[in-house]
Amino acid sequence: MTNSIEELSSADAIFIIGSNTSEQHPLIAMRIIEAVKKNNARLLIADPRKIPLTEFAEAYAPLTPGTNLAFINGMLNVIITEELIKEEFVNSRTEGFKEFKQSIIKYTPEAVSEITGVDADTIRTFARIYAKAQKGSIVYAMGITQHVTGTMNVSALANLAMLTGHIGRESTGVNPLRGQNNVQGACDMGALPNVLPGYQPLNDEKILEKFKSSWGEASNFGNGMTASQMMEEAAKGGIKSLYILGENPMVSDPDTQHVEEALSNLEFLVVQDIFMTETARFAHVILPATSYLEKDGTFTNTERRVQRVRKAIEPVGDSKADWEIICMLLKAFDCYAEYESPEEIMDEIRALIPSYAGITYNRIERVGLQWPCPDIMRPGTAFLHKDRFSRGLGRFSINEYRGPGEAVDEEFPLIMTTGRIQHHYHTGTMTRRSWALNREYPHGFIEINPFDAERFGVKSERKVKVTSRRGSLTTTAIITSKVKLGVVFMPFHFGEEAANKLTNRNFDPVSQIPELKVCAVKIEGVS
Amino acid sequence: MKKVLTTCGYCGCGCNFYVDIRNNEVIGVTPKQDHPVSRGRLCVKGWQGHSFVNHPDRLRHPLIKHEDGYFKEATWKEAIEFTAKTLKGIISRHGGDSVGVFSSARCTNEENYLMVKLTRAALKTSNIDHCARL
Amino acid sequence: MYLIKSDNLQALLDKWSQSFKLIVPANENGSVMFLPYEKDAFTMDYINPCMPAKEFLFEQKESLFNWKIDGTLHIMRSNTNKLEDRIIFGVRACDAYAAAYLDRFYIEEYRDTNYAERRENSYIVAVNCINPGKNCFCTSTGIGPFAKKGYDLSFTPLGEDYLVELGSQKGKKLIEPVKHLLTETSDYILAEKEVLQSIVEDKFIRTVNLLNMPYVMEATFDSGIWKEISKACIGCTGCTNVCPTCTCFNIVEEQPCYNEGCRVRCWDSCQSDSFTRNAGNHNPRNEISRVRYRIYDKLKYIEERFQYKGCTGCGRCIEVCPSLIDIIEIASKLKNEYKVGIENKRKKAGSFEICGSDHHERCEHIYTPQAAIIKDIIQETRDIKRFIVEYEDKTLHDNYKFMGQFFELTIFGVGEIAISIPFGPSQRDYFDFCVKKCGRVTNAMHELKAGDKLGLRGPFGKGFPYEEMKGRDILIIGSGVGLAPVRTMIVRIIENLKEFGKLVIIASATSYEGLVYKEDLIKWSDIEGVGVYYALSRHTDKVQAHVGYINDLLPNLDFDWKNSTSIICASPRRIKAVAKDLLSLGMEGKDILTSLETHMRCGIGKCGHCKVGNKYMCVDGPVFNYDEMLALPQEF
Repeated sequence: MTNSIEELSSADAIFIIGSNTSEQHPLIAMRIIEAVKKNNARLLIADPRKIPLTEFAEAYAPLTPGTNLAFINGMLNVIITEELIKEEFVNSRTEGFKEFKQSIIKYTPEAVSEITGVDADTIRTFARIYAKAQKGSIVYAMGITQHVTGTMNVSALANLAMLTGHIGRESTGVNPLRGQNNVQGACDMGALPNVLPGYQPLNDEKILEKFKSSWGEASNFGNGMTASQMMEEAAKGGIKSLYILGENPMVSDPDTQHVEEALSNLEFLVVQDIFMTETARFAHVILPATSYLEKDGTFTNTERRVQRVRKAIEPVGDSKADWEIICMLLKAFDCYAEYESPEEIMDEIRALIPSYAGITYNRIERVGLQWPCPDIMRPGTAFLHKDRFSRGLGRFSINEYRGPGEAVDEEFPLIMTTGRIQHHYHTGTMTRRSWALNREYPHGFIEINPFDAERFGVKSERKVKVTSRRGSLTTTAIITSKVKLGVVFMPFHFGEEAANKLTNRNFDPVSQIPELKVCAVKIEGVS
Repeated sequence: MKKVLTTCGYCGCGCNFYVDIRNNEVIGVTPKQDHPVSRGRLCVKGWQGHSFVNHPDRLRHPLIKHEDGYFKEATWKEAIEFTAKTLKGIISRHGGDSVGVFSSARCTNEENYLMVKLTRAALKTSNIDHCARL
Repeated sequence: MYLIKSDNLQALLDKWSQSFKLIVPANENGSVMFLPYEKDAFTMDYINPCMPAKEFLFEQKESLFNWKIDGTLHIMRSNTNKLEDRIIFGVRACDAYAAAYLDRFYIEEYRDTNYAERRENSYIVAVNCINPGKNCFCTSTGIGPFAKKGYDLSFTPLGEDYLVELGSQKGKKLIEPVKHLLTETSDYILAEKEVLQSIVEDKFIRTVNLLNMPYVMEATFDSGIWKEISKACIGCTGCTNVCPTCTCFNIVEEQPCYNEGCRVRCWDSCQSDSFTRNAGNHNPRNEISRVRYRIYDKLKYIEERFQYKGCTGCGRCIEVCPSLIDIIEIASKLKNEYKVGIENKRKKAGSFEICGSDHHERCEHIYTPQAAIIKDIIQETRDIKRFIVEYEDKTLHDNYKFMGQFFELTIFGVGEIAISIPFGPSQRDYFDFCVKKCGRVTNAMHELKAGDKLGLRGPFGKGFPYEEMKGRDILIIGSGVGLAPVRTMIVRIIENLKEFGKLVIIASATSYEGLVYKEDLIKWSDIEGVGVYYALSRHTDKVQAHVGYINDLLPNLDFDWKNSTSIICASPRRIKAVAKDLLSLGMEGKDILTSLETHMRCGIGKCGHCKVGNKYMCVDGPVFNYDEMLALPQEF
């Protein structure tokens, strides 16, 4: 997030796209509800499903999955056409406006309405409310990133914020809601193939020197493969071995059949996890790890706040904290790993990542600090880009709409979008074993619109067979007008009826995120 | 009986709460009242999502798969040695690029950092990623 | 009455900690909570800890019993009796009042042994508030700001002293060890206390007039406000977790390996959608009735049933709700909607008496089952089996007293289920239960074989009023497996037929194969004075059956309807359909009886899962008459 969670309460317009906030980030939804109830903030929601937060929304746009880019470009078009631009901001803090403006001309509300299924006046309403606000905040999540145009979708949102000056100030900004407890931290620590820890580039001599002297001259500082590329290579035989920590690709990755091929093809698979997952069954070695309740360390949340994790109980059985296991392996490879505690590891991190340099365990004893925090005398940073962007001036990008990687046709007439429900988490390894959560949703389901249900002979709470170009599965149908006509929704938490059996392997070319939000399916009742 | 302040292991909100412990068992939670994100509130996973910790399905010992396809319990020494030896063998035969590492968005910063170090400095490969895209 | 200098408070606590386990408000990383006494962490700088003191009396998770099968079944009660005496110091008026309510709730009628034992060892020392929180409203509920009930000792800050008052006989035990720090005082000090109380009352920011709230709520039951709230509520269960008077729990089986395990109980929440969901996926509450239920329980049902306030006004639920749902706002809105003279379309809930129990004479620990063994299993229909069961300890059969309406059957490692009693008092040496396969526990039960072990708790529940039915014509209707709960009355009446008028039995199902006790039905049809009819959806050659509805058969029964009693056991929809016709034939609502067996779990009116309005199905029912059934909120 460019801004902080607390600041959302004081925004006067909030545009949510691709985020089912009340179910996935309830404590952030609380801020949004507060903004609406106590400060009369105007809430705009664009989502193919009528998510719970729409109860508080002033305007709701039920757009077709995969058409986010057209919708955002439509808003940009209206803002430019109706002269709602923040001239001062655009002139002083951005570049590339002219070309960008040219590219937006064709995205008239009428044209966009054809593509998205949202009526033109709603698009205008969204644009006007957001642009005219004093403090407009954009909130988004995987609903817009898990597409073949995911990167462009986010760039378009950046355009939106820059065009209206809603960035670099309190209660504004472009705020992705990171889904997992430490996905922000994992990225910050460089668990990515194309950057060093702290997003430091792989090809800067001075930075490389720093890492070489800490890790050793012979370390590999090349540009590597992403997870999806590794899966592809594993299936082809290029990757012989994978070491998987705390992840369950057999249920969470797209196209389960392909994942199975890839994992079966490996010569050596190591899985480090807390439960025997569907993925762990393919392993050659399983290392039992501890959960977040059994170890010390830090997590970084979606607003960049680094917070303490504390050991509450002793490790179960003979399981060990992940950091202890990795240290054993580091030593087996003759690498330095003499850490008495996670705090010592953090000291090493601080020396290598400038934005973490000021974050010590002492300083975050009571409450976490938001990076960048470059030294121990300074506080953390609530919001970013106050005076300048990381590259200096913000740059308008041109993002031409293109449709999803997979289209519906006569044989597969419905768009299936996948997502999450409140009571479960990812592949359900933890939540399906917590009785109070599992009791709510012990099994998977598929949501279908009443008209579509009638059309395809689907009865409420009965079994249905759902098929895509990659496979099929049986699940239970829930008939609800929450989903748009022509769209069905499946949560992906349930391994035995894994939604990802149906999803495709179309990737965003830049981020390599799979198109989990769109695939074409057909559905039929099962007697 | 004690209460330990920690950060939630579920979503990216990063709420804080106290875990209520009795006899080394998690029996419940108490929210943290003045937390900048949660402000004394929690969602249903925060309130109810921790009883998996002592579930009988928890992996309690290292496991190595034998020729017959079944897993058998091993000691840590055996498991680490076997893992290191096999990885070294694969790297020497096929090169570092034949190995890939999936780190975890559920693990701590320290652990992710060590995974990066393991990947680049020990295994000498650049193939590291994690489940951010999911 | 005593005074103690504020400066001596630490010394008093030090002294107490020598002979009691002492729990005090303590600052742990910035939040004040009740924790074991440590000098450095102890603080008096707090308004109210986030979690109520109830977490020490009714624990968030506790073990009920352990079991093990190694050839023999061993059932061992978990130890709560090794508790030291402990003092919970710093409890505010709201939590102290709640302790008094929890005592009433858990200890009376059926004695919750776990709670009672823990309570005996606990001393509540209240410290009265002089600075209310921004969402406190105990002055509106009438139970604060100074503790009136539920404490053994209370401390009131008066200038440089604390006024120490006894609240119970137990409190004297606390005075003894610290007498040297106290100076006796007399009544004059109470005037000072009263003055202070007025000053504190004026500091409350939020107030709401809760006078006559139960009547207001009766009249505004169908208010549109509940739909609004249900859209906002995300079911996080925070409100019930922090509420000092919430008492509901769930029973969970923990099984580390195949032949041993432990039954625990954990706090549960009526704000989980699945809280009231039955096997077969029927959920009597929807999202609207769910959110409404909590407020009704707090502001109406608890008061009607127990004569205690259900809401103490502590404001914690307001502070813990991520959707900003506010009970004070809701009460105010309902009051605004209520107008005197509005026609209340709902039938007024009748008065009731809560049935007592002699259960604790029969067994030491009400949550621990008795070991039983399956002697035989009969397949009644495709998905219904009849289990013949005996206690392992035969003397239990000798001492068995016929009562109640259902037993709780335990499948070790899987769970527990309420199954109605289909047999009569003359059947003493064995029990039989008809179990339909429709959920997790019943599925597991259907996998058992003769010789396998079960657990039995009970019997529980209010049964059919046998004596009151004498001298009347009796019509008994059972639909599908619903014939089992009413069979107990059939066999009793048949054994004493001369004391009754006519007896007519109507067995209904989709097909003949779907009926239970088929042989009994044939046997009964041969008895003079007994008529047996079948109402099936499909024709059969096996017996002469009416293909159609139960209702079709009613007009032809030659009954003295005014002096008849009927028992119907079927789905609520079917019950209403049949009752409608019976009423038009001349029966009265009070003579139409039914069994409402919604989701009973503990069987003794504690866990909350079967509560409908202010009634517990397992204690006030499950047998109700039709008038009583209509007076309940239609959430069963």
